[in-house]
Amino acid sequence: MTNEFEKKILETLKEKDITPKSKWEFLVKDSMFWSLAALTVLLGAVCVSAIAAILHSGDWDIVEKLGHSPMGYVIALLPHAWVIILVGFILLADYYVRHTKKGYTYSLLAIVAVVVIASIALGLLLFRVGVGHDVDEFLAERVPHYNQYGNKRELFLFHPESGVIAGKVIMIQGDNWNVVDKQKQNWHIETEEARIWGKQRIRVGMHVRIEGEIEDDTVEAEYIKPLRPPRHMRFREPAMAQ
Amino acid sequence: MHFFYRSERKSAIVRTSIGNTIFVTHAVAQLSDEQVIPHILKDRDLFAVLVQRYEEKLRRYIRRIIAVSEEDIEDILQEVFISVYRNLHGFDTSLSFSSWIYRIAHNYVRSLHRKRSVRPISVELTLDHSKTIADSIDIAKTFDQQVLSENIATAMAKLPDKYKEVLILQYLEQKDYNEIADIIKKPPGTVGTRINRAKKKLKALLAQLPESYDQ
Repeated sequence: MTNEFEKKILETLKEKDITPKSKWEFLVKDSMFWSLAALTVLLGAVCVSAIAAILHSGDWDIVEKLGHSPMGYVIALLPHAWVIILVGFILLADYYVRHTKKGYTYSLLAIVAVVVIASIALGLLLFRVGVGHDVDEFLAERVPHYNQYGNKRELFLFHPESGVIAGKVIMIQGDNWNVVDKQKQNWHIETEEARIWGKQRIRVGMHVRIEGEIEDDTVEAEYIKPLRPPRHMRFREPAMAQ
Repeated sequence: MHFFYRSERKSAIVRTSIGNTIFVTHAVAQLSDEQVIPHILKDRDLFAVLVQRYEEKLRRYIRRIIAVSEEDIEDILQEVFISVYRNLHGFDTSLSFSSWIYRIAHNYVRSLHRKRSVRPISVELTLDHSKTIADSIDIAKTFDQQVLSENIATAMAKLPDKYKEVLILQYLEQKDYNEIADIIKKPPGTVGTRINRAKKKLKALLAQLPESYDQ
């Protein structure tokens, strides 16, 4: 026999016309959390690919001239903004996984480990197909102060005492180039004797690294390399032009 | 008197209705909670089966985890059952229904805790409960059982909520680690750690009492 309480519940359900929520509502909610978790892993992977691209494009061949040990250079070049964003995405992925139906059964460590491994694996794949470099270049062209928090490479490339400078090519007239550095200083570059990385592709407006003998504002260049090589040249050394 | 028989269902339902009183006699009453749900989704009145099964258990549980009047407990219980009915499609079949309904009650009470400050719960223990707890935390049981029970209840009431709730679920509601994990939505490892800490804290609180239980 139904007791008073059961009767009260059934009457309330009837009076207020309470019906069970649709099963789709629960499916959508659960799928939404999984999708958001997957999206944050993907965004984390983009961060990893950008970090890998920045480290990959580092000036490893002249680390000593830049006054760094290899490890010191890794730490100096590591883009803190990207690392912080990556940590943010990892924590966000943890939050979304935790809000899925079974999410509470996984420990924080397990979720973070899986998210980190997935982000790194996917990130390296994206790096290999050039996404990291594309994102880095896109932001370098559009985001103010990106070279202070994102790709700091150019900041370390000002060592005239060691014969290294970097800047934007503002004029090319045969073997005589003009380059302006980050401090807006103009440099006259003599390229007659220089080995030039992908010479035929260097245009006015490109940023280049220059090594050579420096006297006052003139550089007798020995080696010139674009800071951001064209897409298809990123992972291989081109023939040198002299 | 109205009488009908639904033979198309896997488990036939025989329902009679006399005035406002509904009698659910059937085979539904013999089904497990999980098996009853599809029938409830077709016939709202069969929800009475689950209400009947869990009313007393949840009333006792709510009384143990929140210090409110009997009227308030009745209201909480009603809200919990309505929420259960509303969310029937969201029942995760990999859980036991019992864990799921306890989880809903647990969450509802926690949200009440957040909304209004509630005075500490005075935990009521039977002698059996206090003996089990005393055994689990390895304290001397040479004292009078009634005094021991009262002291454990006093010490439990002083524990932070997160420790008190796992001890209540384990010793008073007789739930295992996995069920507790499903109810409070924490990994089983965290539940284990929390129970161990709760026991240590309980033992420390008992050691501070005039009749020291420290061994």
